[in-house]
Amino acid sequence: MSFRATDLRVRYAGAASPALDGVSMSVPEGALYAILGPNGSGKSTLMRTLMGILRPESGGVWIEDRRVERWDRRELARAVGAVPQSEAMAFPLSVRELVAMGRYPHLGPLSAEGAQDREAVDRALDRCDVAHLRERPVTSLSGGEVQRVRIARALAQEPRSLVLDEPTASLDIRHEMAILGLLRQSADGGMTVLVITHHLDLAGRFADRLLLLDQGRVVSEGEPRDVLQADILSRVYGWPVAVDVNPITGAPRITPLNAGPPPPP
Amino acid sequence: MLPHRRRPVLLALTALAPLTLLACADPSPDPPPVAEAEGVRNAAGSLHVMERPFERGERIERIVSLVPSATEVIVALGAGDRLVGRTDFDTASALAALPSVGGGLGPSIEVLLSLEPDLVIRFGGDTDLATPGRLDDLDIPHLAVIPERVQDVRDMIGDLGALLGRAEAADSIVSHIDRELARVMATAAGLPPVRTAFLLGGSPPWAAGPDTYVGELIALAGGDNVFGDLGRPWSGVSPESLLARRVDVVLMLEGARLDPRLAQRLTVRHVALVVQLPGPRVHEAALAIARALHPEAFR
Amino acid sequence: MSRRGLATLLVLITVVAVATAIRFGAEPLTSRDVLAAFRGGGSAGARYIVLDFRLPRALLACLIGGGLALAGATFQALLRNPLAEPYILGISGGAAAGAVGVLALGWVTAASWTLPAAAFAGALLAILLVFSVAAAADRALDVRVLLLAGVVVGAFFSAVIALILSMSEARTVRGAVLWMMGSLAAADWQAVTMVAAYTVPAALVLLGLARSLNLLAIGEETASYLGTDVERVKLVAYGVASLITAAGVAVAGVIGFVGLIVPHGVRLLVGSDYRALLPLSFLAGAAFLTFADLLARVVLAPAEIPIGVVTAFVGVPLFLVLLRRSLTR
Repeated sequence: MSFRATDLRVRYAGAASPALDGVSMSVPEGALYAILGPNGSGKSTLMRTLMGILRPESGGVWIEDRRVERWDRRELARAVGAVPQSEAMAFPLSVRELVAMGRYPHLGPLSAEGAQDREAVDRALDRCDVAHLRERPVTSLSGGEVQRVRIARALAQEPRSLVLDEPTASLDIRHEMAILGLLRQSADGGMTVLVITHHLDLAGRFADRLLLLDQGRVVSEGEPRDVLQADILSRVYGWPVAVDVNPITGAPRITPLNAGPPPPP
Repeated sequence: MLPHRRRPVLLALTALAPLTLLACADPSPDPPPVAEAEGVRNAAGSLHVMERPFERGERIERIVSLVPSATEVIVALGAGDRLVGRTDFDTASALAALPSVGGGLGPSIEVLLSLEPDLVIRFGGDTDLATPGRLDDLDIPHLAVIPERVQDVRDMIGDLGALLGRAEAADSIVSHIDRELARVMATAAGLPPVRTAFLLGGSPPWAAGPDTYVGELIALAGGDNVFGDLGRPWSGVSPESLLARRVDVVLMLEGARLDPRLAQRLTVRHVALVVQLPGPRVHEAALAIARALHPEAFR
Repeated sequence: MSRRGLATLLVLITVVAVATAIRFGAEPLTSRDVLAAFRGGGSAGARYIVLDFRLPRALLACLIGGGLALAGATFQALLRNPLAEPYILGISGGAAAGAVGVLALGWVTAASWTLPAAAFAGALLAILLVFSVAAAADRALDVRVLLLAGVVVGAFFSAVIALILSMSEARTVRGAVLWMMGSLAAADWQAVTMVAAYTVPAALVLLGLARSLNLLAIGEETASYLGTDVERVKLVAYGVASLITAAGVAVAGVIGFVGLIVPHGVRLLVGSDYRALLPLSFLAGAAFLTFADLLARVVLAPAEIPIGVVTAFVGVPLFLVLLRRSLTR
C-alpha cells in the first residue's frame, strides 16, 4: 500500500496558523517510513490527515492511488491498522475484548466472531507478547502493556499496512526492540509501516525512509543518512547535536551535546 | 512567623469573629408579651396570635387582609370600608379599586407599608414564615388565621367580629350559617347515603380524605366517602381503587377532568370552586355538594 | 455470570414482574379473578381493572424502564462518561417545562393528550437547543460541548419552571411537582401504543449499533480507525436515544435512576460489551421499573407513591452497593 500527500494545508478550528503548511510526502509500498520532528511540528496531525480524519484546507491524500475521501471507512479499516498516541477508555474492558475489536471491520452487520477471527486475535496477542494478559482488565495494566495491547489490536485487523503514533513511547528496551523488530519484519514481508517517533537513533536504524517535519513544514525526506544531518537536526530541534555512525549497528547515531562551551581539556 | 501550632487556632478565631457582631446587632429589649384575645383558637388547637395587644375599644380603621376568606368575612361583617388593600386573589368587583399587595403568601412589604395598616390578617401555620417577622420589624400588628375546617370558619367570624367591634353581626352570620347547615343535614339524614369521592384531577387522581374541609362537607351532606381510610388529608389514589370501591358519584371541581377510562365507568358531577376554600359561604358549599349527591332532593 | 445465564434470568424475572404487577394492585383481586378476566369471564369490574388498568400499566413499565436503561447505556457510550443518564442533555427539563406550562395555562383539561403532547414538545425543544448549540460551536458534536450545553439548557428550563410556578396557585404547583416526580397511573392502551411506537424501533436500531457503541466508548479517533462512520453513528444514536427518553418522559414524567444504575448493574455482571449490555439492560430496566411501580401502587394502598421516589429509594442504595463492589475489586 502506498500513501501519498501533496501540498497539504491543515488548520485546526480557530487556530492562527496552520498545523500543516504545504506538506508533500510519499510512502512507497512495503517501506518502513518514520516521521520525525519536534513537539508541535504536526506529526500527529499528518497521521490524522493521512487517515482521512482531518480534512485539509487544500491539498490531497491518496492511499493506493485512491483519494482517502473515496475510501469506505470499513474498507480502509480492513486495509490499514492505525494506532493513535493515546486513548482514554470510559469503561473497563479485558485485553481480549479490546484486541477483538480489531476484527470488527471484518464482521458483517449481523455476524458474530468466528474461529478465523479468534485465531487472528490469538496470533496478534502472541506477537505482541500480551497473550498472558488476555483476561486482565486493560485499566490494570502498565502504560507499556496497554501500548502493546493496542498494537495487537491493529495486528488483529490483519491489515496491509500499519500507521502508528509513537508506538514505543512507554516501552522498555526489550519490548521496544521487539516491537521495532516486529515492524521491520512486517515491512520486509510487504506491509507498509508508518511510524511517528521521537527516537532518532532507532528511526535511523530501522526505517527505510524518514520524513522530518518542523512547524508544519517538511524539512527533508529521504534515507536516514541523508535526513539525519547534524546541522539540520540542531536547527530543527533547537539543540546542538552531533551525528556519527554507530560502530555496532552501522546506523546513524545522534548525540545531543551539552549546551554552552565545551569543558576545558 | 507564628509558630505552626498557633496558626489554625488563629484562623478559627478570625473565622468566628464576624459572628460576634450578630450578638451585638440587636439592642432592643425583650419583646412585648403576647396578648391572647379570648377564645381565639382554631379547631386544630393553634392560636390566632395577636402580635400587639389592642386596648378594648381601640378602633381598627385600616385593615389589610392577606387571606381571601377573611376578607370575605370582613365584608360580610359590614366592615368592608375599613379595608385599605387587597391581594391578587380578591377578585370581587367591590374590592377592585383597592391597591393590591400581590399574593397572599409573600406579599409586597413595600406596598403593605405604604398602606399604613392598623392590622394585617395573614395565613398562620408554616406556609409563610417570612411575613410575620417582617411585620414585627415594621411594628405592624398582625393576626394569624388558619381556616381549614368548618369550625375554623365559625371561629374566624367570631374573632374578627370581636376585634372589629362587630360582635353582633358576627353572631348573626354564624347563626345563619348554622341554620343553613342544619337544614342540609336534616334533609340528607332522610336519604340513603351516597358512596362518593372528591377528586382533584391528575394522574393519579388526588382524593380528599375525611380530615379535610371538603371531607367534612361530604359528611354533612349525606355522602359516604369511599376513602374514609385514607390516613392523611389528601393523597393520590390508584385509579383501580375508584373502580373497586363502587363509587356512586365522583365529585370534581368545575373544569377538572378525570382519566377517560374512569370517566366512562363512573358518574362524575362537578361542583363550584366554593367547596375548596373554607370561608363564610360554607353553607353554599355544603348545598353545592348536597345537590351533586342528591340532585332530586335538593332542587 | 455468563451472558446467556443472565439473559435467561432476566427474561424470567421480567415475566415474573409483569405477572405480579397484574396479579396485585391497590384493590384485592384473587388469582381466579385475574385469570378469569383474561379468559373473558369473571365480573366486568375485575375485567376492566385487569385488562384496562393493570395490563397496560405493566407493559408501559416494561417499555419505559427498558427504554430508559437503553438510553442511559447509549449516552454513557456516546459521552464516554459513566455518570451519563437519559436526562443529561436537558430532556427532562424541557419536558417538565412543557408540562408545567400547560398545567399553569389550564389547558390540561382541554383533552387528555395535551399534557403528554406538551411534555414531548418541550423535550424535543430541549434536544434541538442542545444540538444546535453543540453544532454551532463545532460541527463534530464534541462531547464536552454537548455536556455543557445540556447542563445550560437544563438550567434554563429549570428557571422557566421556577418562574411559572412562582406565579401559579397552589393547585398548579402541586400538580406540577407531582408530574415531575413521575407516575405510570395514566397508562392506558393509547399510551402503551405511543411509547411502543418509539421505543421498539429505536431499541432495534440501537441493538444494531452495539459494535459501533463499543468503539465509540473507547474514543472517536480509534472508532474511526476501526471502521465506524463516527458522525453518522453519533447522529443516529443521539437522536434515537433522545426520542426514547422523550417518549417516556412525556407519558410518565421524570423517572430517575433507572437510566443510570441499571446499565451499571449489568456492567458489573457481564462487562461493557454493548452487544450484551444493551439487550440485558433493557430487560433489567423493564423488570426494575415494573417491580418499582408495583411497590408504588401497593405499599401505601390506596395511595400511590410517585414512582420517581421509589426508584430513588431503591436505586440509590443499590447504586452505592454496586459502586462499593466495583471499587473494592
